[in-house]
Amino acid sequence: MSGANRASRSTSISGGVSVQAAFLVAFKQLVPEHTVTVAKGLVRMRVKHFPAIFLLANTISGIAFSTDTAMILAWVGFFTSWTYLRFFRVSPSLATASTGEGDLIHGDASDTFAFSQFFPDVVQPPIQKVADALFELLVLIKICTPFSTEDIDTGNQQAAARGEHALPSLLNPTGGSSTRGGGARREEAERRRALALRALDQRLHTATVKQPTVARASEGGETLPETSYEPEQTGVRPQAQQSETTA
Amino acid sequence: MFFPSPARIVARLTKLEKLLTLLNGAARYRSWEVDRTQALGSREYYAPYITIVPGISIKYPWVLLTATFAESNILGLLATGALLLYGGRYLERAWSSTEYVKFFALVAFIPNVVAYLLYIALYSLTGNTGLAYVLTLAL
Repeated sequence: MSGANRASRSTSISGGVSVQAAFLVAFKQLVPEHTVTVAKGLVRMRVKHFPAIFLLANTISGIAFSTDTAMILAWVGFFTSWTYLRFFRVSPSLATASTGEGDLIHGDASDTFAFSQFFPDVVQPPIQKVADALFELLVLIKICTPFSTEDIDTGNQQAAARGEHALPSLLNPTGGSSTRGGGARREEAERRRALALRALDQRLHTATVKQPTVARASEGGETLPETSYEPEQTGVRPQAQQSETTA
Repeated sequence: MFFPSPARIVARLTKLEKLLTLLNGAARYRSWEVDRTQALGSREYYAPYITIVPGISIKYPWVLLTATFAESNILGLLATGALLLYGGRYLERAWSSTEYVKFFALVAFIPNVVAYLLYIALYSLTGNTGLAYVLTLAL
């Protein structure tokens, strides 16, 4: 018995790996299109890929070098922070011209922060399906509330507002827009806008092709009949999307 | 609720982390000293008062809070330290101080609890320590 006890003691869990994973998720929510260059242009990565690469590295290390505590902590940290940021965090609104209601937003329903968006494009569709199915299951047993289209729009607005440099950047801690590095920022903002537009177009396209419950770019099914809330779509236009989207 | 200025929170956190890492290192060294049968870096040695050790941490519940701050190697210390300093400062300005501390507390605490329970569960299922063993069984 003492031998077995001793064996169980030789794993000690410690370290800030979970915090590292969580921070990467938070960075992805805040500046997903930011490109980080390391070693004078040798390595360039977008922030939106950081969490996946981090998890991959930890998983490989965990299996190959048996640093399994770090692997577990990394994954759990990832899940914890994503769940919190997506469903629970109450944040003040950055986009003032949004729905015009209160200034607090629950969670972040934007398309770009969906679970499947964390992984490479190749594997996104299957992950999306699994995640959607899981979410609908949780909705059925009343653990989660479904995301209405209004929530998603709000989320996308927030994401776009973040891209309009309403936030401090790593190099410019005071926040607000500044003329420094204007070119790169504009390019970044353009990319975000393009992504948001693409997501919106995709959603509109699938919404017009089929009716409600359809696989979408975000986790969370389309509104279920008994809980749907359809705001008037005409008055609400996201401020950052300037091109005309077909209604 | 009163919170000190942003930079001080981050500075405090990193200081705490450095302190606990040192403690961790010292404690591990100490337990190695007691019983020199294994190599210094081996996993047989641990610091039960600071890190989570699935078998015996039930006696020391505070380690669920302190384990996040105690790194077991220099690389981890540097990585977490840098991330806390730069990333933490950024997040603290992007969100408010309160939000950041809430987020940090959440993410530093919950994964520890989950990992702890997971290892306990795995141990009682397989009778052996470490995920690596379970994985090799599965493969």
